[in-house]
Amino acid sequence: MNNISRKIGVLVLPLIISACTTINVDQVRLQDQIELEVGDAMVVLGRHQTPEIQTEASLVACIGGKLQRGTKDIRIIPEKEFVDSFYPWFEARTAPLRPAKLQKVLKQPLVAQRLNDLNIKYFVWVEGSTERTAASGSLTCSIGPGGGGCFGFGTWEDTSDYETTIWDVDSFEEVGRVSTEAVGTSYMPAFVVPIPLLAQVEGDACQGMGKQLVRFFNGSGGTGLKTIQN
Amino acid sequence: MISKQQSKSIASSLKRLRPYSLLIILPLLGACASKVTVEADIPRPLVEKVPLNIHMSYSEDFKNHVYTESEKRRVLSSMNLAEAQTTLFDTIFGALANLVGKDDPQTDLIIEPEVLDFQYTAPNETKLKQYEIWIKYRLKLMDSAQDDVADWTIKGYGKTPTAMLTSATKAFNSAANVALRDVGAQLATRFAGQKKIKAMIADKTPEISNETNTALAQQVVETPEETVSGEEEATNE
Repeated sequence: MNNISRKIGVLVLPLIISACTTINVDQVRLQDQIELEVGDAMVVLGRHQTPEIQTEASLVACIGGKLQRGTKDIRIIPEKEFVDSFYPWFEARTAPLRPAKLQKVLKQPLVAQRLNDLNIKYFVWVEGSTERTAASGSLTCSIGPGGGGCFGFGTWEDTSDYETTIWDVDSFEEVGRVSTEAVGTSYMPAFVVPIPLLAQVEGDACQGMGKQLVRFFNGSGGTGLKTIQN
Repeated sequence: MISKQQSKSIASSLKRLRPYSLLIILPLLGACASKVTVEADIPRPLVEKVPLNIHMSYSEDFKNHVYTESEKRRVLSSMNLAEAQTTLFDTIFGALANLVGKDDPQTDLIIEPEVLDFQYTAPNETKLKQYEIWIKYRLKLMDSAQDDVADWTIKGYGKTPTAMLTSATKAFNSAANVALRDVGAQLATRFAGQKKIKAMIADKTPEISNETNTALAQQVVETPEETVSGEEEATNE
């Protein structure tokens, strides 16, 4: 029994003890009132316009999920569904980089019609990535007839740097910006069994940015979302 | 000779090693060369139809195109693009115009695509955590008398980040689809803006040419300031 609980302890320990992440979130509001009606929709899209700029689909989906939970009467259209539905206008090569370019895309009757059918009022563009910025230590694993194991200590630092830009589809203007920088250090001590103490940098960046975006659309401080019930 | 005691001890050691066997087998599996058959995932483009009847002419080479890697140490051993690329061109031109059969008297334009080049990289070659694919096509555009109208060279680029427990086969399939979508996006947004195509549309429908040209001109949206690698070249002869 003792042996089993010890094994469970080893498995659960890394989940309880996790490394820390420092997050900075900044917001710029360029329009006081965000008007959304019940049944309106928004879309969260990642930027992929160059091989260097490749926003992770997992982060875009995570932010979309946070926004969906925070703005319950508004539909958040998943990125893949939107991009497929509007193919080829929001591909890496063709996606508009400025609101004025979006206006040009929407001059096409079929695109404008579909956007109207879906009631899309805001575009939330996410640009950035999470990268490994430092790593040190050493960890060796070996295996032999008598058994195997790992010894050593490894540590690494991941940095997330993201910026979201919010476009109003009616006015074709940028109405806000939320930027996030998250830095987290992970540790991996190993004495026979490696114990990963991982910093969830991307997840924490999503958490920070998602919360701020919900505040942006829900309008903290008396401004912001004015949800109109039909 | 191995005594009973020794063989028991070896057996028990092997039993203890069993949980680690996955750790050894998984990287070895990753090192295996992949044979990939690309399954196309190309949505129907949201574009206006041009009033042209197009026949897609696929050569046997194109219909059965399989890239075969000659370098044995590389990750990919072969990539079958045959079905995926015919699906791509059928989907794109099926949305852009009316597709007609081989000897249809209504044919305005015959399009014959050809694979000019195919390249790829895998994470173990670039030390980047991504699979990349470049495809270069040449589209030969001919009129109904099989006289050359234009040559259009298009490059597509696609990449997929590596993901835990995703096989190289899946990642290559995904990167190939991104590259094919890129080719399709260029075709769909720029076809109607090609000089010779505009002229053909105007010739065919002189009474509505002004209206059509305005609508089609809207379809050709300026390219973004920054583009992914592999720029498109379009040359009208």
